[in-house]
Amino acid sequence: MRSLRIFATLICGSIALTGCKSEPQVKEYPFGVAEAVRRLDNSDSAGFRYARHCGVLFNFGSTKSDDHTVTWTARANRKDVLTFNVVVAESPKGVTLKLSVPLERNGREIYDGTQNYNHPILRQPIRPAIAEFIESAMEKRSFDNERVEGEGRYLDRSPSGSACSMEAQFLAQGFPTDYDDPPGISMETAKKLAEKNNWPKN
Amino acid sequence: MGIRMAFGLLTLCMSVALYLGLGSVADKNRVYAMPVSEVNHLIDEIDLPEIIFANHKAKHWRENDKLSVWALQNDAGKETFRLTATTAADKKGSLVAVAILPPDNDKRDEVKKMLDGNPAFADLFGSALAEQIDAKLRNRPFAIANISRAMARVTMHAAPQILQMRDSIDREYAQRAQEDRERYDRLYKNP
Repeated sequence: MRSLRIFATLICGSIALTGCKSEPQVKEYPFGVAEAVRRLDNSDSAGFRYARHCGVLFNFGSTKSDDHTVTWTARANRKDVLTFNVVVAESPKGVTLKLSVPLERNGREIYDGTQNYNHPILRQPIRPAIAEFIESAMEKRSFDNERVEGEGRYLDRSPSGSACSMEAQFLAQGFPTDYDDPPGISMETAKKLAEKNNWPKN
Repeated sequence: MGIRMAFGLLTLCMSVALYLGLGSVADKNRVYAMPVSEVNHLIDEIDLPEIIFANHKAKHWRENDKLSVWALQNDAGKETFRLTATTAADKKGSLVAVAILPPDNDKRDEVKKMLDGNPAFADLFGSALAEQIDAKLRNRPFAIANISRAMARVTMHAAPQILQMRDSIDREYAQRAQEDRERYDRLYKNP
């Protein structure tokens, strides 16, 4: 009878344990807040922009919002078009980081892989790329798109993925897209492309 | 260890194992318990195995009752290599031996030098022909496993050239990536 009780206890315990989920590990970096902020503020913004850009030219850089926070902002046509920040918090063995990406009106994060933009500035999803961007900053190295995790490393499968890809090709030919233009290719860019590539004029 | 590195290591180990003789090999001299005439008849019915000779046109003829010949040709129809199967009567039946020879034209010396310098290629071609003949005479499908060691040898011998080619491609890619990056950065300087 006693052995039956022990057996039942073991079974119940096993069932209870299978329901447990460990919290995702927050990475700790073994240096102080000031050093972490300095590293983040010296991130490879140009490398990140180059590796992930579409067809819009935009300024991209970071500022120290306060002693614990670094904010990155992308500006096109003299206005902010994308922003995200990292808050550095002290932890037992150093610091931990918390990334915040703002939400769109539909309640999802900007550039989360589901958003539709007339003229996207970066390939979606942006969060895995930002994760590598931050990691590269903390390791004091260049941004490496090959280290971006998941399917978002190369292809943008979002609703504006094809616009991003097409406009990136126009940019490669020297013709940037204006962020505020209506959707699609502008007449001016189409003419320039036709002229450069000797397309038929009929 | 990344998947790429693990896969590369596995391939290398397999190649080394095969090269050292742990894989199968097609014997290029075999005896069949059949009369020579029957063996000749069956040999003349084979096609060269596509897995090895898919990119080659081949012309076949029987020279005499001992020798069957396949002349591999390039796109212009010029002979590049010659494969032969020689049949001889043996105490136990018929002995079949295959050989890879240079062509019977002005490229003879050049090809002979190439074959002498790359025995792994000659071995692969011979092994493939011997395996195709064996499969036909034993009425079974062609088995890649039986030429695996010869294939591994070719891979191992080609490794330096492959590495050299990869280095060259890597350099070209890096150069192009650098130019793309500079072109992109210039757009910001001169929008």
